[in-house]
Amino acid sequence: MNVVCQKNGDIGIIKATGQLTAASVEAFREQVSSWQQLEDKVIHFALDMSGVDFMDSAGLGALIATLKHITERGGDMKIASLQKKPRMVFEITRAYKIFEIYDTVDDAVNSYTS
Amino acid sequence: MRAVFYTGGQIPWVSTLGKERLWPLLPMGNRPLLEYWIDLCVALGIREIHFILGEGAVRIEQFAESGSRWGVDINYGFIREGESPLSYLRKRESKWADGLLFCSGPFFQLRNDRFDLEAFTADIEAGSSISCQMESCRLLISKDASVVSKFIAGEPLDNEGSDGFSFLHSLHDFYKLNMDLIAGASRRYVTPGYFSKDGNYIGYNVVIPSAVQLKGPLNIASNCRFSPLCTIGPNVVIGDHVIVDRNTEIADSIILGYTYLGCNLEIKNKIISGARIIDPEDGTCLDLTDPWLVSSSRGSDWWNQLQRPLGKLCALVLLILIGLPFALLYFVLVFTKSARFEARARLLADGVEKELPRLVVLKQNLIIRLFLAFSLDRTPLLQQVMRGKLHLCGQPVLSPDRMPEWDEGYWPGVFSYADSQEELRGVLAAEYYHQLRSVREDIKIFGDAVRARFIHALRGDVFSLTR
Repeated sequence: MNVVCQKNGDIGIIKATGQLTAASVEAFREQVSSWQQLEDKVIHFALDMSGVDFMDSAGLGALIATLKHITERGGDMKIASLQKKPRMVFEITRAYKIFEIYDTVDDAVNSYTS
Repeated sequence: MRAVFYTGGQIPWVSTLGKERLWPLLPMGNRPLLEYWIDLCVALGIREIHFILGEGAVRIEQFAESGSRWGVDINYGFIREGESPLSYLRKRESKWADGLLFCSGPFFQLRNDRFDLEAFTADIEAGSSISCQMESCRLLISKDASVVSKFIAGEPLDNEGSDGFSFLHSLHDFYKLNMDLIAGASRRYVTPGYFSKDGNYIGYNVVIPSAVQLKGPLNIASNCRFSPLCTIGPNVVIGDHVIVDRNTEIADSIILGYTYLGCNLEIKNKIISGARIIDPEDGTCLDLTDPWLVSSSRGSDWWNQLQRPLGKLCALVLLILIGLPFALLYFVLVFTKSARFEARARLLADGVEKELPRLVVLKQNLIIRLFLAFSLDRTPLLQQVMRGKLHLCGQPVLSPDRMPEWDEGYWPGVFSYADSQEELRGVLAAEYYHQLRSVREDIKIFGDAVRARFIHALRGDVFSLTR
């Protein structure tokens, strides 16, 4: 799992690549957490999932934990560019009720300003 | 007239559902496709059916057996590698002189509101023929010897056409046909052996707790189990041996046999086959063996072979852990005359009747609650596990007079479904375990049993634990 974090204005863009499973959630959590510590003023995030082709319940659990951590600081995390297979996991687990999901990263970023 | 079915052909979209799925046994509404064909044979007066078997031969034979339940005589044969089903027909050409029904792929007779089975059979009797070829699969229904002869010779036939028979080209066809059947077309097909009311069809040994909401139309096959607070339907086809955990909602979907669905899921417009989630619109597959989401409820043979040694090892560890507390607390129980063990006749795994100790509670106190909370009353039974007479997890240990008529698959265990699920007791729990036995189920049974007994004992419900 490769995670790249960058700033787009006030919004943090997290781009994840690879498989988000039990084997990789720890790396995801650590990388997101360490970037958040460096950029502690950023409270809103868009998670670019275009590079994630597979995820399981552990991966979903990591996303929910990250969202919880962010919302506790008064922010939000929106999901963008879900591939078909992870989208199926979001569908069957009703995770679409927890996350706001957008087709593109730009849509997710613009949703904060609008 | 005779019928020949070639069940061995490979249908590419069927392999998407998992390599263990066979196209003749795919559910169409509440029954396998093959059964609709056998019913049609019966309607046409055919009494001799030949199955040319290929992959999954054993399962086809287990399903159809001798054909006696449909009143037909089923014969089984194979073709050599490189041979075609037509060569099988050619070698026995004289047999088909008075008519042949041949099918070698997923064809399905569509019966709309105007369909008249008597008129259809009369047409065939009068000499009408139906023949068509789709991909490498062929269909012929004809009593005309010359047509049959041409067909067997591989010559083109006049007026080829499917005439009310649909060929399932894709997963989407399979999904759509099932949804059509479930939405009302099922009543136009004979559906023996199923409870039917308001368009719902429910098979045998289906456990539906009171909080499960069923919204027809739906088809639920045999040996399915739902946890409380599920919502099933509308438009759902559920195969054999499916387990659905609590709070899960299923609609407009097909759940194929031997599937486990985890708790709090929402399955809509999907086909689920074991651990595979399939979108019928575009065929996207997601393999997700995840015990929190979906997985197969059929354990692998390799794991199942480990069941007995693993059970013995766990029993040994348990004996070491609880041996001393058992001895101390039991001494107190006997001294205070709170409980004692009584011998009751039970059947062991080897079929031998033996008296096994069962705790009888004489008066409630804190010690007896602790004793039961940690399942110490099962300690003497763990010794039987070490001797190979019982298993750690399995079917309830039945008394000789309650043993059901089936004589295979008796796998008595110290812990069973009956310990944690009120609705699953005695023979019903035994039947479930017989169908679903796996290491995974054993782990679930053990965890659920220990937890449920602990909670019951703390609540003071000791008499239900020693029934």
